[in-house]
Amino acid sequence: MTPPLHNRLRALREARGWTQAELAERVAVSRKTINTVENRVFTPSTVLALKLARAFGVSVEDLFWLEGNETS
Amino acid sequence: MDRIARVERLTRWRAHVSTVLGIVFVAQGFRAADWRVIQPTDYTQLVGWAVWLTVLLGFLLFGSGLLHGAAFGALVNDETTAANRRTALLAGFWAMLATAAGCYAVSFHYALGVRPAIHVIVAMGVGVALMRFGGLERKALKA
Repeated sequence: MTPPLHNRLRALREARGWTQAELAERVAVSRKTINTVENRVFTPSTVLALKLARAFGVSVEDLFWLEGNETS
Repeated sequence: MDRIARVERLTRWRAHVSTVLGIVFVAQGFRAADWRVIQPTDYTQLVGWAVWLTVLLGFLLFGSGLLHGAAFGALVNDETTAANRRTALLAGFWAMLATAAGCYAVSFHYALGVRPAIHVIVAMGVGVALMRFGGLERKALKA
C-alpha cells in the first residue's frame, strides 16, 4: 500500500498571500486540482509536483514528503 | 485570473449536469414499456435514442471546454479531471458487467428482448459513469 503523501502547500501559499486560484494560474492547472492536492485527496504527478515546487522556489522534498519521512 | 474563474464555472456546471444526466439515464434505462416485444420499426424508440445520443455528445463536447480553445480545454481537463474520469469509467464498466450478468440470469426465467437488454446495459454503464464522475468532481471542488 502506498504511504500517504503529506505536503505544506497551504502553509507556503498562505505565507505568500496567494489564493488557490492564484496558485492555479501560476502552475496552469484548475483551482480544483490545487484544492485536492492541498487536502491530500489527490496525489499529483511528478510534473505537477515539480511545477509547484518551482512556483514556491523550494525543492520537491521541501514541499512533499511521505509519512514517517518528514524532512523538516 | 478570469480564465481560472471561467474554468471553475464550467467545472461546477459539468459536475452537476453529469450527476443529473446520470440519474436520468439510469432511470430511463429501466423504463421499458414491454421488456419482451421487439418491433424492428419502432420509430419512437429510434427518435428517443437519437435524442439521448445527441444530449450525451453535446454534454461531452461542451463539458470538455474544447469549444473555448485547446488551452482552456487543457485546464478544464487537467490531471485531477483525468483521474476522476478514469475512476468513473471503471465504475461504469463494472456497472455494465453487473447489469449484463443480471440480464443473463433473468433471461432464464423471462423472455428478455435483445433491444431492452442492450438498452438497460448501456444506460447503466453510461449513467453510473456520469454519476460517479459528477460525485468525484463535486467532492474535489469543495473547499
